[in-house]
Amino acid sequence: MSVFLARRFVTFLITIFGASVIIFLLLEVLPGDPALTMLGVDAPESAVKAIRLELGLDRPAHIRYVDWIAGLFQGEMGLSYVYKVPVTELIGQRLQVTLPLAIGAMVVATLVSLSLGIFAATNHNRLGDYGVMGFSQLGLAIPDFWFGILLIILFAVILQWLPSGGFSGWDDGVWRGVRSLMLPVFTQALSLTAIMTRVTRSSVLEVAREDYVRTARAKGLSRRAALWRHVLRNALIPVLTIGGLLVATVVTGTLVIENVFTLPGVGKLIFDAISNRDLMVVKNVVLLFAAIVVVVNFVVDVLYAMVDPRIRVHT
Amino acid sequence: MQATATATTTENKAAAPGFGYRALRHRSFMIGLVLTGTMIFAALLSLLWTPHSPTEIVILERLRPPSLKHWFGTDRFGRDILSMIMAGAQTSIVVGLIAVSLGAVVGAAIGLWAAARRGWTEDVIMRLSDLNMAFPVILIAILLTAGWGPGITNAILALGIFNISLFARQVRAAGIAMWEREFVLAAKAAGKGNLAITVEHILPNIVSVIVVQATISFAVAILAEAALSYLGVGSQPPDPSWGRMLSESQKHIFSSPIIAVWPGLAIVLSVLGLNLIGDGLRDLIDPRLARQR
Repeated sequence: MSVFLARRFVTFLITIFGASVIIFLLLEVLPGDPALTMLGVDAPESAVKAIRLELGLDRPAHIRYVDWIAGLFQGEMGLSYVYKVPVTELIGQRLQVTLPLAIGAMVVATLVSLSLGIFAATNHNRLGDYGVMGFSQLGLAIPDFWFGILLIILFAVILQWLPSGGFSGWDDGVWRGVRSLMLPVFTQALSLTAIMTRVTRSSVLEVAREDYVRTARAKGLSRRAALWRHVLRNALIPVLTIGGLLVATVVTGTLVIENVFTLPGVGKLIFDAISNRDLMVVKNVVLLFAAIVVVVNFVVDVLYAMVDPRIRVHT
Repeated sequence: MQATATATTTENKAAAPGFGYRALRHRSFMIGLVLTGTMIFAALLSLLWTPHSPTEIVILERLRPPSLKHWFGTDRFGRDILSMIMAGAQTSIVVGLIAVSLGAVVGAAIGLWAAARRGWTEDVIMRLSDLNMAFPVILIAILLTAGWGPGITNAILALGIFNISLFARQVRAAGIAMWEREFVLAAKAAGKGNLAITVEHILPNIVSVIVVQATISFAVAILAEAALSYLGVGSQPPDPSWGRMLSESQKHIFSSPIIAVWPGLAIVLSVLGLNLIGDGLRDLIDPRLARQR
């Protein structure tokens, strides 16, 4: 196990390092002068010179890269060119919206998909199963941002139960915050629920066909008891793996959902930064998201190897 | 060796005559085919004819509800929504086709190479693929847009790059399994080189994996292109795009919510069609899976 862990950890470090190099190259080296990227090609020479000096863009690229990474190790991401505040501070503020949104979506999707998946598997090839599979197929085909728009039409425009977007902050009261995040959470949960329902259903069906389950039934255990004691425990392993991998999907999905509901989260921050050509923000936020994806994949791999020893041998 | 290789080919040929018949009887596959066929037909028809010009602005006709003149109504510039949806299908298909072809051709070549060489070549390819996986489509598109400005090329590139590692992984896994098969060992024993074995034996036997993945990736590409255009980092005006139509419709969600319904429906039906074809193909190619599901 320790050899597997060491190998996987080295890969993890190389991937994070590679991701930072790619981000730096794509934003600050390949497009040409980053000062021109930020101000536009028509900017007066004096302004371009000023920003080069202000942000240290006149230094060679490799020095700027090393400074960036050294800063990250000290918890510094530099100053936002537009907001004139540290990027860490900006991200910290915005995570107050993005994190609850991502966690809420994960919780809702897990609860709903486990219930639906087990229900479909226990009603295999019956009406309930077809209904759940139909829902799941539809959930995979519906773009989450369109689903969000439909929820706005129903709950904000027609019924007027919930706000159509915006978030005034947690200081205005927890309930107001929760109300603002309800539609975004359900929107984000849709495609996750669809995927996890399918995995739960097929995993339960697969385990239910195993010999040991048949033996348990032959020994007189009821269907329900066999399901709870033998099937679910084993069937949930692939569901947890997929759930873990979907964390990365949820985190990047918030980029879209926050724009549908004009939520001031990290997703909104990055698209505003693109419009404002605030490269410092774009660079750090993209690295943060890529790092989350890599960390999640690493954790899932390690957990999976702990559960299933064959993975350690084959990797 | 000849006998084993022939046996495999005969096996494939024996399954072939039943494929069309089974496909016709596979209900969800046929529904998928009809939905996807409709999308392709709408895109092709829009090259020759649309009920109105999809780009013509008629301010006097803005935000009209569905009527006999404008079946799906008009947008905030008075453009006919049905015509825009027909023309928007072109964008979705072009983006999907290029992005998936890029992924399938380059990714499959890399995956086949990794499966044939193994060792450090495979290690390097897999680590590069790990690196690629750290960047979901939306992050690649953000990076390209921040560096070079928004545009449809970014969406295609972002999807293509993402697809390359996806196909490479799938094809590598399928290829490795195929290299263990007896007819490949026999070909090796007969002195055939890696390239000849890959082209003559491995590729023909895993082409179904590539086709199924291509169908599913096409559906994902349509969803992703719509999302990127919705966010303003994909297709740009005046090119018609379902995602941008949705973004524009949201500005009038309180006064004309209906205009947000049509482009979304077009996306759902297209993606559903491709997903059903993908699922159907998987069942038809390996009927054991269908029985299990």
